[in-house]
Amino acid sequence: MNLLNSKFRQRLFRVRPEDRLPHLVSHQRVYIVPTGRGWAFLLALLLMLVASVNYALSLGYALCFLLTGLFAATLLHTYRNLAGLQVTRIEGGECFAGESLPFSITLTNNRSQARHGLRLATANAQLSGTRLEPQQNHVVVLQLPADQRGIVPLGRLTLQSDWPLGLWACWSYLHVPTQGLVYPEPETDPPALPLSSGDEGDRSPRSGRQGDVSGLRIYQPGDSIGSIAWKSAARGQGLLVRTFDTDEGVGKTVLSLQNSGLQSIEQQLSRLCAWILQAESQQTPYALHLPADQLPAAHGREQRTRALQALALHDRAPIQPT
Amino acid sequence: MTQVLPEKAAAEKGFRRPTGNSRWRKWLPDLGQSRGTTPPPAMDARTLFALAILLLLVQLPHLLHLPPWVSLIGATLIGLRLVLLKRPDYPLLGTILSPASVTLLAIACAWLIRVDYGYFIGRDPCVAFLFILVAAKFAEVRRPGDATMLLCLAAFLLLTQYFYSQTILAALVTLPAVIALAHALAILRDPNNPAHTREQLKLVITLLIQGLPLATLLFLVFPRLPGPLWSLPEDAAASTGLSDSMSPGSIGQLSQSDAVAFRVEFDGAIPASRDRYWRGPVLSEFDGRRWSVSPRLLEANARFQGEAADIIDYTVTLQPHNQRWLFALDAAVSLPRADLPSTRLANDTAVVTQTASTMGTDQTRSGRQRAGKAMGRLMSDGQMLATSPVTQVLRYRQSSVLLDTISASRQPPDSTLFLPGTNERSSRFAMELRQRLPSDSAYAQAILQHFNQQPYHYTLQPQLLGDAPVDEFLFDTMAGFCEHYAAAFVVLMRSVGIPARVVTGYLGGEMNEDYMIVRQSDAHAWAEVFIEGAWRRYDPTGAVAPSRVEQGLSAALPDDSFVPRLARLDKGWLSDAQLRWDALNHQWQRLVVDFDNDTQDGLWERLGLPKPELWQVTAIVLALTGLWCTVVLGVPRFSRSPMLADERSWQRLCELLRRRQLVRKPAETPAEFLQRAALAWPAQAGRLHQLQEQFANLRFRALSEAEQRQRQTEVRQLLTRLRWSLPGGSESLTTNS
Repeated sequence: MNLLNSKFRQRLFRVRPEDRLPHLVSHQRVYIVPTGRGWAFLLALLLMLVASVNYALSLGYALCFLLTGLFAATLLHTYRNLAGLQVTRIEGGECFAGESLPFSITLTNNRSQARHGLRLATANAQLSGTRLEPQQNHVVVLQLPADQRGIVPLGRLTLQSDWPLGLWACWSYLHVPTQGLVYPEPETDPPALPLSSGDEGDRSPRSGRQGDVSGLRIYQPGDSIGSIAWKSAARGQGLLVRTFDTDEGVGKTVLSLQNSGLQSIEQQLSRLCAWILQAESQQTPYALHLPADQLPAAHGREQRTRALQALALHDRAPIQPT
Repeated sequence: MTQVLPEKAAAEKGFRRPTGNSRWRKWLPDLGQSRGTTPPPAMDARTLFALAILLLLVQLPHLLHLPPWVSLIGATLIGLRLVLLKRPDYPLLGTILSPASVTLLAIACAWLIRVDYGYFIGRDPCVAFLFILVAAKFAEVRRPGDATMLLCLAAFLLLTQYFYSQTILAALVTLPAVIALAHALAILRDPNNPAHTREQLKLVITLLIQGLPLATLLFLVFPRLPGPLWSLPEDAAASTGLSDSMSPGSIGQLSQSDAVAFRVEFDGAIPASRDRYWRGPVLSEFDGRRWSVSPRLLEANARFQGEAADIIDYTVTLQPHNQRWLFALDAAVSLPRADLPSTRLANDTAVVTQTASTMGTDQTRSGRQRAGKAMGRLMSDGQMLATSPVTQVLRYRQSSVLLDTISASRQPPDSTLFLPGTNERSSRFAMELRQRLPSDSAYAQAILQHFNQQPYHYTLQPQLLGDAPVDEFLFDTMAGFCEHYAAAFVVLMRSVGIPARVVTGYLGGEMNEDYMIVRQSDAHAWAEVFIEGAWRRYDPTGAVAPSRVEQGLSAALPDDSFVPRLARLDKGWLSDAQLRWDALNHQWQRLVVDFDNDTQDGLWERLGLPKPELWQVTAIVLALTGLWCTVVLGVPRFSRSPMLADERSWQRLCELLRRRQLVRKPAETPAEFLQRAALAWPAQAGRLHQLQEQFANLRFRALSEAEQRQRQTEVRQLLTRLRWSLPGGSESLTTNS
């Protein structure tokens, strides 16, 4: 094992610790061996050759060699199907624990022929049967299983193909330090959102819309459709969003590990996660207080992302810049 | 979760099944199907069809030689499997095609094959069993994993057809099967995600064509190992052609066949028809009815007798007849040797000079003979025997001198005098005739005259003869075929103490372009008589029907008798076509089927090169393979998409303008870019505008494929004109704008 991971192996197999994008699958990095069916085919060819020798069948030789030619031509096509493929971009996505974590991989086929039957695989995920049309970019999404929150690296990516006849398997490895983020799994049936620390408990969670309209601001992606000022939009003033007069002192929702009321840290994070989602669906501003991270009260897509990231990375190493 | 599903599916299946079946189903053996718990076959219809087509194509050539019942079972199994695919709920079928019952069927077939052929470990029964096995495997194939084995078996079965026939047709029949094999592989690679069949076939044929140069190279240089690696117990194949015995009617029967016995290419002049006595088995044992080959034969030396200028050199391509005879013009003066075609071309002149300088010695013979090893022996009775039965087409060089007398070094054996004493009338007739004549040779001539003057008939349909066939023929029926005359002649000779024997072989042959075809219908029998220390040929048939000797079988027989079509004199266009076909087959036989070690060596000589060492051959093969790889890898455009043509044209235009210092800005649309170009070269504004419209149309309008192609042609023409009209060119590329 040690030997396998050593520099020797890197030299031998030309495995670099990491590749930079865009990555061209060069001929040096394409490995090719017969598949199981390929070996069986070879064995059959050998037997046929022996029979031809024994009975001096000239046409038997011809048939053997015709199939050998086919076998060899297949080798070249299998190789060419993979070599020269470009991996332009790999992007890790986000998901909640228990879902699958999407990695979108952009493949560029620069040649004038389609590439067929491409299979992408990592240690625990695979995607097969991808066909790349000529001279086009393709985004394929590889779904990694994500059981635990935190950072999930893509790991070693294998690009593989046994097109056209399944007699040869060729593959190439790709090490791109890409990672996705797994949020804690939201609790399925969370209790209601906790309210402000001032007069706790007796006020029902209020949605932002219950306050008075305090003004208008320009629409940003992520704003609720319900809060758009349609009247002003109809007047041709562009999309504006009503902002509400939320009383910081009275209705502030602060989410922290302490007020989740649970013991296990994962359960606490899970409940906080559910609460964030709940607050977002209710358009309630919320603040998140974690030991390492303090988010002021807000809501919207950006707040949600930052809050969920904070939960995902609680006690974990910070995201490495990629 | 996963375990529930099949049961559920089965329950649904069972529900659909007609209830009436349950009454008799309980009587069937439980082969895993009867409860209706079969999971549906995992192999999809497309894969199964591809495999079925492959197997049918592979089976097809075997139908010619297999016993009908084997063919029937094999084809039926495949048919049944396809029916099961269409009707998976058909109750009995699932039981028949379950693995257990198919295995039972295969075992039963193995036993039947053993009974039918009389043995099992042999080439033919094994092929028959493989035939059944492939069909049986297909019948019970369920998973794609099984298909690998099926494909390999099918490939091997495809090869075994060459045991029986290596004609052009056999080769042509193989091609669709090979395509089907590759197609099945392509489908099996990814059954869930199949490409269109036409696309697949195109791909597969491309692969085969690209593999063809490598295949040809291997065919030419792969060393051919001599001799079999192993041999199975002799296959009791029925022999065609002359056999080691002759009873009344046997050659007459043979004469009714058009089949080719052998083909001959003469180096020089072609001997006259009456001299073409091709010597075959010599029959000296007689039991009163049946003539047979002497079991005690001694080997003789190939002796040169006569003038060297009379030597006729030729190459015989002998069809397999499962016997050891080799045929040569009477009399052979060399041993049959392997054919080296190249030396024949190169050495013809050398042969003549050499012959002229050292005439008439054994050294001349060996000098004229090419380096090929002897393929047979010459026996003391003048008969040539191959080292083993001829089971494949055999090609050998042979030299003969046209002689009807063979001087014998030793006294003929007693068997050439033996008579069982059954033909008493003949003996009496012979004694009386001999006493009136001065010499043995006069006696022999008198008998020929007797045949000629008495009302003897030459006919293919003689009457059946009884216990004393020679007596009955000579004095009662007086009608017979060559074997009757030869046999009677020999009996009359032996009756007066002159050693004599029957020689069988072929007389005649027909020229087809530059070679001669000798057919089974040319089979003949004549007599050899030992007079004055030499064996002399007497052909009594010639006395009865001289035209048989001069012109062939059909000339000698009355018009209404049955003569094989190709042996007739007036032939018509059909036999003309058949002769052309035969010529083609002969070339095929010579160039492809008989390609062996010697031909291989001849290749180098033909190229004017010495025979290379193994490492040199390897180096050449590697170099050519490398070249092949480069060519195949570098010819990527076998499926060029029409969609890309406009893209390429656009790139060409951009390149054209770039060389003239007009570089497209990153965010510039084609329209803007070309407008800028029109500003730079106002004279070309019209063409540039046209181009822009064409590009926009090609890219954004839904055009039919034909229209697309037409517009692309227009674009290319515009581009060419633009190139010639624009000032400047690649020279101005030095500075980067």
